[in-house]
Amino acid sequence: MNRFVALVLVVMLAPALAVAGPAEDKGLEIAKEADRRDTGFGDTTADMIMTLRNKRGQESKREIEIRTLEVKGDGDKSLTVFHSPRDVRGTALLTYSHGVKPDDQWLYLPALRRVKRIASNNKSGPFMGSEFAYEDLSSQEVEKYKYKYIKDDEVEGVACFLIERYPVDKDSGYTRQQVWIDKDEYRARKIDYYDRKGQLLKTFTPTEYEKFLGKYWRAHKMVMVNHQNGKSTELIWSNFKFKSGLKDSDFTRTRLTQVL
Amino acid sequence: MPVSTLLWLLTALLCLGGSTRASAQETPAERMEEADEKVRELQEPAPEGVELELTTPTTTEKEAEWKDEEEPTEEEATADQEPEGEQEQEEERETFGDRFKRGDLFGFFDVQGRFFPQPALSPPPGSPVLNDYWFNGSLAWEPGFFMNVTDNMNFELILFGRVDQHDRNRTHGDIREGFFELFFNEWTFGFGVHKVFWGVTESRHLVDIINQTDLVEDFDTDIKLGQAMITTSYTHEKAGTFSLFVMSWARPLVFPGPLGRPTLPLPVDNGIRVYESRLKQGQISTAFRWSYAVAGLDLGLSYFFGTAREPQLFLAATGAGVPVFQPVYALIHQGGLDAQYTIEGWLLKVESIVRGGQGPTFGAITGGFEYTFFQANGSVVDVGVILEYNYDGRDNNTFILFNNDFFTGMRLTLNDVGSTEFLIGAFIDTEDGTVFIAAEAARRFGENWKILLEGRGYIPQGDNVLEFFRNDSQIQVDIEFRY
Repeated sequence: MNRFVALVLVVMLAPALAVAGPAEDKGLEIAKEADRRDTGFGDTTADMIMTLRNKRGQESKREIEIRTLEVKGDGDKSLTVFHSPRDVRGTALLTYSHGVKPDDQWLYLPALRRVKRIASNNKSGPFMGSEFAYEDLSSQEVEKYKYKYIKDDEVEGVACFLIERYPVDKDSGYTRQQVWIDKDEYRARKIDYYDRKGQLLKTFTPTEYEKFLGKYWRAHKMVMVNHQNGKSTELIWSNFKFKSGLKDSDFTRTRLTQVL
Repeated sequence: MPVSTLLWLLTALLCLGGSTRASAQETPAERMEEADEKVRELQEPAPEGVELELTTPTTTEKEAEWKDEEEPTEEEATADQEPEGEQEQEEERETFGDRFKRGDLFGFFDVQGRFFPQPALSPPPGSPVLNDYWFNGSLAWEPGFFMNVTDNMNFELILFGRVDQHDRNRTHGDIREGFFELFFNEWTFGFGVHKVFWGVTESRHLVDIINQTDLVEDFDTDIKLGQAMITTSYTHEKAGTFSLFVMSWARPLVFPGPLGRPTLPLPVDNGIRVYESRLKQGQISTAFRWSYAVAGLDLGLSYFFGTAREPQLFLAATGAGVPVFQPVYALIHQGGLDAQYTIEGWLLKVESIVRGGQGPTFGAITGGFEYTFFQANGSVVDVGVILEYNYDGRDNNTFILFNNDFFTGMRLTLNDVGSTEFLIGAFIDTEDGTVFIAAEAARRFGENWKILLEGRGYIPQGDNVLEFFRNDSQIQVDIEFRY
């Protein structure tokens, strides 16, 4: 009898074990640890210069300001404000991210003074014509992916865990991502993105990490190279500020029209 | 008129020059504020370990570029005395961010050409053809200035002026914004000249009532004149946002003049306009709005009481016996509802109003959907389709083009470097089959240039009011410099 129950349990649990094997557990643990180390930042603001480069080396720049509010028990709230190109000056995007549930997003168009709720299933679309998709820049919650630990590896001499993560969202443009996370501080060192056909699409490389408030690491430079179209996008971050006392009332549709 | 416009342009130019100087020099107060920020930063825990990468040549180059843009201030000079190299870099970034925070001069210049392939319609018998031209050129400038007066107060000034080749009414200026806005947590307060938009639909903006339409700029009613107001809003975390607007100095709707194209068969004489209110333009109008968002739903309820934005037009005659339209501005009360439900690529929208005060009380509704195919066909192009139905129950001499019609449209967003966009749409009158088609394309070139192309076609049937525009189909080209 006891043996029979044990057998039934083994049969029933076998598929679950296959999904959550040791490699999966370790992958998830690494992702959780990285997330744990970045919680408690409260709020941040930063400026970013986004440079788009095409195959011929032609450049186009965007100046963007990002404010983020950490929300306990839910995804972060963020406000993205455009300063250039000048035809989109003052355009702002308010996002309430909700992990695996659809985000709420409002776009403010200053010329018409119009706040527009926009569809939130545009995950894989390019952000402002860049090589970054909306999902690459959105709040990275642990539950947005399933994980698998692959091996220990190195990125430019830094010891890393190599894990794979698989987007849960059906609207994601990726089948999998390979993420190199350094063992010292659990910072992403490199991400390879594989498209819906399983082909290598893009490589993301964050560098020039700096520690803030003695705890939170932020990269000052990020490069996304698209291997399929030869284009790349570089982000230069500056003016990081933490815990400047932003509140829920700074992330409302009303404030969206007053963000500059 | 041209003289006053010239004067206006000159004044604006002087303002522009003045504010450039103002923004280049920091006021002592600003310096104090910066210094304060520095102190606060220094009190924060110092970075423990900064990566070697920070000192790679690429970084230095980047920092040097920023330095070129901004002359070092006194504060930076003091900052240089700090021992840590990385701290110095922190200061450089500060300056770059502060540039964002300081006054911002912005705006655009527009060179516009309108081409009319067909000859203008004959005017009423006995009067000369005034607007039979195939080309109309015009120039516009919209200078703006924005600043954070304090951490809790913004000021924005946006002026606008256009000089038109033919139409004296289209040669016009406006204060789009001259607005102080204060915000304290859930409360905001504002006063001055401002623009406010309400609503969700694309083909018509029924609920939107705060501002007068700048009809001579564009017939599509998207462009608005500034409105003098005092306003306040309170946002409750659960219950949504409550806003109150108290307005005065209602702006008259300016129609194209006899030399404008397209124009009405008779001129609208704003010189003999009539207000129902004894206070005329000085009438106080008030509006209240509640807006609310939960999950995929956005909801707005609004109420307006005051001088109508859309005048009723009545046949009259000038002293010389020339027939004209006389605009009458009634006191109206209007209730409005706007709602949008967003689910995946679907936007389901409805707007509705009930208005009393202009003849019999009437209702109007606009509703429909927009669906977007993101990355259509595996490309990076987004394709949106729009279908909306418009009903308007009024029969009261206001100038309404469509009262029972469908709008169908398609939007193409290329998601490229130049943010290229195409929009094509058609209104189809369900009663007489009249069709109005509009197509737009816009693309940015480089960082500052933008080219817009627009075509409009009128295909009136029966005795539709668009009959007057039968020969006024047009192609419009705008070359804009945005700074």
